[in-house]
Amino acid sequence: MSGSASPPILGSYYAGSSRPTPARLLVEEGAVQVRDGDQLLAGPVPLDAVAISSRLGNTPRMLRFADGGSFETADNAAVDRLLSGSGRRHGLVHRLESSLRYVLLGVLVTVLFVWGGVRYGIPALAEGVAFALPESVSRQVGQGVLDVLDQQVLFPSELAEDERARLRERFAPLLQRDGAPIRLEFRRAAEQIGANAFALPSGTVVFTDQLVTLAGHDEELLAVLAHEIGHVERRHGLRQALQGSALGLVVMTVTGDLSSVSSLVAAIPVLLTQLGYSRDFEHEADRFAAELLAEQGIDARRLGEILARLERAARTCPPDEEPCPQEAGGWTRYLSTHPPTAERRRLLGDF
Amino acid sequence: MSDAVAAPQDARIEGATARRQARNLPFQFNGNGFEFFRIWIVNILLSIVTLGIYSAWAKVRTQRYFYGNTRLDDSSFEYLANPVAILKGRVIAFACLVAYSVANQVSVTLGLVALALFLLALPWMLVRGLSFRNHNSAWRGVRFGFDGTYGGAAMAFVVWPLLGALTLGLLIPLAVHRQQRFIADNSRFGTTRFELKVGVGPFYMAFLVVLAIAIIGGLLGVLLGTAVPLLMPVLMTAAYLVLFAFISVRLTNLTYGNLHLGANRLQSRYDLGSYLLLMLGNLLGLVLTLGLFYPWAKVRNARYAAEHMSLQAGDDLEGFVAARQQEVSSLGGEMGELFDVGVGL
Repeated sequence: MSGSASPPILGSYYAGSSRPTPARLLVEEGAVQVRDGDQLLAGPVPLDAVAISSRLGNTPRMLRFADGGSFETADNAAVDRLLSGSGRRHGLVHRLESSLRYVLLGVLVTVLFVWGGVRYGIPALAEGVAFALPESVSRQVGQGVLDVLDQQVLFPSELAEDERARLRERFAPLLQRDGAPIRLEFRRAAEQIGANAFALPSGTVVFTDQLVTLAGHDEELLAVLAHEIGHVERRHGLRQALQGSALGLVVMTVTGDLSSVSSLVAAIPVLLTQLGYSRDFEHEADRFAAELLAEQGIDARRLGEILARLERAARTCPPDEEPCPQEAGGWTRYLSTHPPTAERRRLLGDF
Repeated sequence: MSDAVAAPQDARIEGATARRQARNLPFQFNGNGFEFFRIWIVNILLSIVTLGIYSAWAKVRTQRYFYGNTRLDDSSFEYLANPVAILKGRVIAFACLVAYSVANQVSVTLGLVALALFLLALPWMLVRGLSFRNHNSAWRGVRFGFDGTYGGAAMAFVVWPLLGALTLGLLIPLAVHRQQRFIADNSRFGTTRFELKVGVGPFYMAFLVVLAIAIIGGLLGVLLGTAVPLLMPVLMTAAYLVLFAFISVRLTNLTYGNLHLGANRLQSRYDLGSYLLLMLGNLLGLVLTLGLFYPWAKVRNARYAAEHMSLQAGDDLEGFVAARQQEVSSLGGEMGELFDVGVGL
């Protein structure tokens, strides 16, 4: 069976309008022509001059002629024969899609890539980028946030003037070390924030009055400061932003689009992943704090002590019951921005 | 399906406007979940191996699969986009997205400037996106097209929604109506224009029902939630899903069901019950398989759409003539997709 006398392919021919003409496509001596009975509709032209759509499942094939006419056929096997007879390379992707082995490989690679990329790749990449950029970029993140907070949930500190001065002096060894300059602020926080401390990427660390009152020892506050300096020095603000963007890109690669169904469902894993990133940052800041405190000759467990105090205050446990009874259901840890206090204290004790 | 499908073959009358009995032509979708699953997974595999470059080819293959498996009057639709054009668009759009999110992080003012620039570019992205999509969609060798202007898109997608927000939502249904009209009336098949023949009234009715569902759902959630706290999130989620389904169903029926093309008219018969079942099935499948159900969900959606739409053909559908060719770049379309600008049609 040489190519010169292959059986005709049945289909429809369109010549620039939506009127279909039932037609046969014939190949004679390497030239393609489309006929309706005796009438010649297109060709004869060499096979190379015809644009043939690639195989895709069992969808119909289109053979497009240079003059704008097109021939549609459902006979995929005949078009494939035509192409292989001509020696043109074709259908590589279709062969991958047809092979169960490659599909299984695809599933495996996809699962590994998504899991590995999200768990290790994105954080490592973001860390590399964040530290490759000048420090000023990292400090730019979150400009103006403190102004917004001051308008809404923070008020001027009501701590005594000399108490604040004493604390600043106590904090001085940590503030005056090499590295990112740190600015210290005291604020009274609204009820819903309460005892807390937070660092802005610009290097501003805010202590709430409530936290200062809650602390049982100055070294506990120093430990908190060391943890917040960790957030600044390790550029967590910039890294969080970078990781969020990269995560969106992964979601787009996998779903291929952002249709309504997928975005509704994709939102949940994206949120859980971002919470996971946030917990990783807390651990990193804890490790940073432990090292910094060791330099100063302070026991890292001071941080654990204030964390326990904070938890007791937040949960209104009986004041001196140790440990604070655990909340039911261990899975809720995955819904939190911070790791469980018990875990953090265990790790801090190990440093 | 048989009699309608066989009809054009024996209708060999010269002259395209030959009037015949109005026929109701169903859409058919022949795709299959497992078949598309294999295409999808190979798409992802190759996208990963090529560091994302293949994703443009992947998009074309996905689109071609859904177009090619959708048939009307025994002819299937075609997606003709050039992957290289899509790739170029994606690269530029991604750079803009990075700049936009970095600007947002860096400072509040820079974020506002970026937002203003985005609003200015939005109409342009919409027009280019619709042009690209329509230009690369074809049936029986005749391409669709889109002739909307920047001004028209700016009115429909920036000015009217802003007015809607300023009037506390009172003009939102009108804005949605304008948007659908802008998309439909500027679209054409070959040289024949589409026309959306529906007033703003039904959009206001739909809006009222949406309000009612939201209020009743919210009240029920709060009332029953105080009695049985566990019920609150369940009821809220249910209300949200019903709301989402109702909006999809009603908007699809209003826009597609009133779409005219010459002597022909589309019919759309989505209904809330079956659509809710479809959505719940998809959600359940996606959650239980950690997302691997995604290709089946897409196929189920496409099949549902085909089964609930038909074309009321007033003529023999043979008189549509291809328009003069012109090239359309993909940039706007890819920008719109990356920024998640939803265009419903």
